[in-house]
Amino acid sequence: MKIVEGVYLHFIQTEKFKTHHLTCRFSCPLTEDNRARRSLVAQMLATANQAYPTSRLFRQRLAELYGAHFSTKVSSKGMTHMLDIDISFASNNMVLTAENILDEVLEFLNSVLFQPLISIEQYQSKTFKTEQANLINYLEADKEDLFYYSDLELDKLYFNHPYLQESLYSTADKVAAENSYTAYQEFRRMMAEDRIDFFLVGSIEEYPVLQKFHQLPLKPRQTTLTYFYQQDLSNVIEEKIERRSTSQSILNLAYHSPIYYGDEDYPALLVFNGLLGLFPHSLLFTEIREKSSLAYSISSQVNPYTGYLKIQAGISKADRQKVLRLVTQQLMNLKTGRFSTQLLGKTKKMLLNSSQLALDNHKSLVELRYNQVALPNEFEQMKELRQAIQSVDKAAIRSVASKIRLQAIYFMEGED
Amino acid sequence: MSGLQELYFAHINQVVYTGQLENGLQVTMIPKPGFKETTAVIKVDFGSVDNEFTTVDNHVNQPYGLAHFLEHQVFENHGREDFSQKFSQIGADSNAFTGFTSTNYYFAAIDDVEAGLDLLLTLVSQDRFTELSMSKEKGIIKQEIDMYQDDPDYRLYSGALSGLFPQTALAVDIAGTNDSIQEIDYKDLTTAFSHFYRWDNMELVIVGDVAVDSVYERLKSFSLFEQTKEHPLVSKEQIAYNPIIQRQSLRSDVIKPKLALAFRPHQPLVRQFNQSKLALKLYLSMLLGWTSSAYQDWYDSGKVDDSFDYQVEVNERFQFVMVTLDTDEPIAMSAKIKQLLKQNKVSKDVSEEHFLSLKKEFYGDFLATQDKIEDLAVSYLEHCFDQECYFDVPRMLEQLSLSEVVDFGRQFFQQADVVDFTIFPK
Repeated sequence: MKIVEGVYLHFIQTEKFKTHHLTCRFSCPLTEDNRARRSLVAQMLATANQAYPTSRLFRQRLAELYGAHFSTKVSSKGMTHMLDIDISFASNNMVLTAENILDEVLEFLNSVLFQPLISIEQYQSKTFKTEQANLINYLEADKEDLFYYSDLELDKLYFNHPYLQESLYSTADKVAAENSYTAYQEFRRMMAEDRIDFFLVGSIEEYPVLQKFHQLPLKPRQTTLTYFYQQDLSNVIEEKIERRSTSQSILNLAYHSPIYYGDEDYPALLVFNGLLGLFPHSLLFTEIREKSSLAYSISSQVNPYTGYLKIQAGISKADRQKVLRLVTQQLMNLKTGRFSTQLLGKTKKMLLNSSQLALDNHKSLVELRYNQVALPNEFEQMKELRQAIQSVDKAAIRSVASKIRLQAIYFMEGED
Repeated sequence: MSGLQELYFAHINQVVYTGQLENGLQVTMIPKPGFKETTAVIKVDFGSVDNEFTTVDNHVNQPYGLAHFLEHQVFENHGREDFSQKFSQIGADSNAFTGFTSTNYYFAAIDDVEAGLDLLLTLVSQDRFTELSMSKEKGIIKQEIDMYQDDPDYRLYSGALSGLFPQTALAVDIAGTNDSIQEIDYKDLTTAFSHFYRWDNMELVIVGDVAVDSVYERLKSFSLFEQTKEHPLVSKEQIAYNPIIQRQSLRSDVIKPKLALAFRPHQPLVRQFNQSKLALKLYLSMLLGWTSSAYQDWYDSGKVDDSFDYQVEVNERFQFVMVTLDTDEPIAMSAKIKQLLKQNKVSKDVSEEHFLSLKKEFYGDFLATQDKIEDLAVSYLEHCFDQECYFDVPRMLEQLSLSEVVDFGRQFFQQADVVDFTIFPK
């Protein structure tokens, strides 16, 4: 439902949950500066506002609302940046008092959006400085999470576009270079210029809620969002080895995979990735872990917005070449069709089942709806995608495999 | 209904069915109308701390990491298509995890739940590993142990436990050490399997939109149940209360110092595990949780950040409380936290109003778990003790009074043994 141009409210009606979920999503194009600023905004939104001016009062209020769970997060699809505010809360018929939790939560969201913690055009500096210092620390501590860290290093190596070379939360340096004024102005830009989607999941009486949203002081806006990023195939494979004083080593491989969400061969890409490294029966898992005992953690993932496929494996330092050879061999087997139809059938069944599992999760329902309403794609109905997955055959898998090209290798070399 | 007891929890409009099969297997079904997923978890009462036990004619002392090693090997099938492949074949996702006191196997399915249950019960009914599968597993588990060792938060946690329960299995990684897993042999695994993988030492919980009666009938007629196993008597070794190691530290590649404080009760708790856990969690939330003024002061002055966390572990075998934080002032913070928890001087955060809002928050957390099929199954099993049930949590919350919580918490922390573990940047 359109509230005003560029601002939408979506109800996802379902009876089965005992809790409800509210997502408020801001979408805008990625720019040079907005990642650092929006990471700061995300921190501020989840800390305090004029109505609840300290984090203690903010959290106290959420506790009173039967432990409503409030969080913010940033993510991206291709060249589109998204900042989400998520609130999950008890449905009214599950609480013993006569309170209308939904109304109270909407009231709370109102304070978050329309009563930011500011003093004249900038965030209140004391709270801002604390949050900025914390964010800088968290970003620096990212290197303690070795799988995440090496994943970021692989992105840096693979992408040509500078905006995609760093974490969506930006870097410690860039966050340090912002201030309470630039961050608050970014928030104002979000409120004035972003596409905003509100999602409400649960069994909800729509009319009174709709009325409340119509009263929000949000102005019409025009947004042009690009959900896809394409980059040219390179003839050179970028390679980087970094030594760390860790036990394990992590091998990270980046592949050019020019198949996008909604493309004709998108279902085949999903099945291809399932065969390769998504499930316990996938080739990477059975061949490299189970048969060769070379890894505990090994998997592949596709990003259908950036045309990107990654493989990550935690291994011993000495096994780098061996694992790389085995990975290449699995891709070759997919390319030449050397895999059983039984494996193909199993993979399709698992994929179809996991698409059903998404229907049991509030936030997955939100993500599905967002894709339906915001993205240009051919699979507006889940059902069509399901049928398309069902009809993927060996030839389609071979065709996908022939389009996948290795572009970058990042090896974090440990000591063992 | 034959053999199933129906329980109704009016607070949350939830029916739960429980029963015990003739062979001793405890079964619980939690119907969730409208949900697509069904999850079944079978819990074996055998965990990483059970490496030492006494049988009718033997005292057995096995290498650390055995229960976890066994968990990996239970999926084997004499070198043929293993059980995780069999689950994939019916479109079900399967996995397992080993804790201190239990090993848990589970699957999640959309359809064909009964076929999944057959597989799950078949999985734990018999061992099918070989010397060859065992030797392959050692390479995989070595990578798993190394992965955990590279995680500073995990080292912090296990480091603190090693000080609190020295010279016990709790002082060692659940997966064991790179040395201890090399020592595990075929006979160790079969011995453990035959003594602990018995129906009367397991519990099954099924959560989802299931046809309760027909599933229960199917379970009762499950063919492998007819092969009744011997029921050897086993007694598990108590967790020793050795003198603590008060202070330990190490240097690692971290940005800020990491501090863990771990508390062991003066003497082990013997009953009312769920209520004790709830009381301790309420006590900690009230004094140093997000909504406390103590936390706000520390946060505002940059002494702590969002990494601040606390965990309460209460089960029949052992109990501890652990507080973990990243802080530039580990020594000062350690003293402050210990002092605060003893409550020699009553904190201003202790009030009926604060207490009430925390009760509401805890109830909300309980509700949130009801909507997550897998979490619900696991939480249910974790809170299942003799005469105690997870679904009693809302009632317990309602009944606990502020003075009960404060008295219990104060006494716990005034008498507890406490250890510090710190990781400093290099």
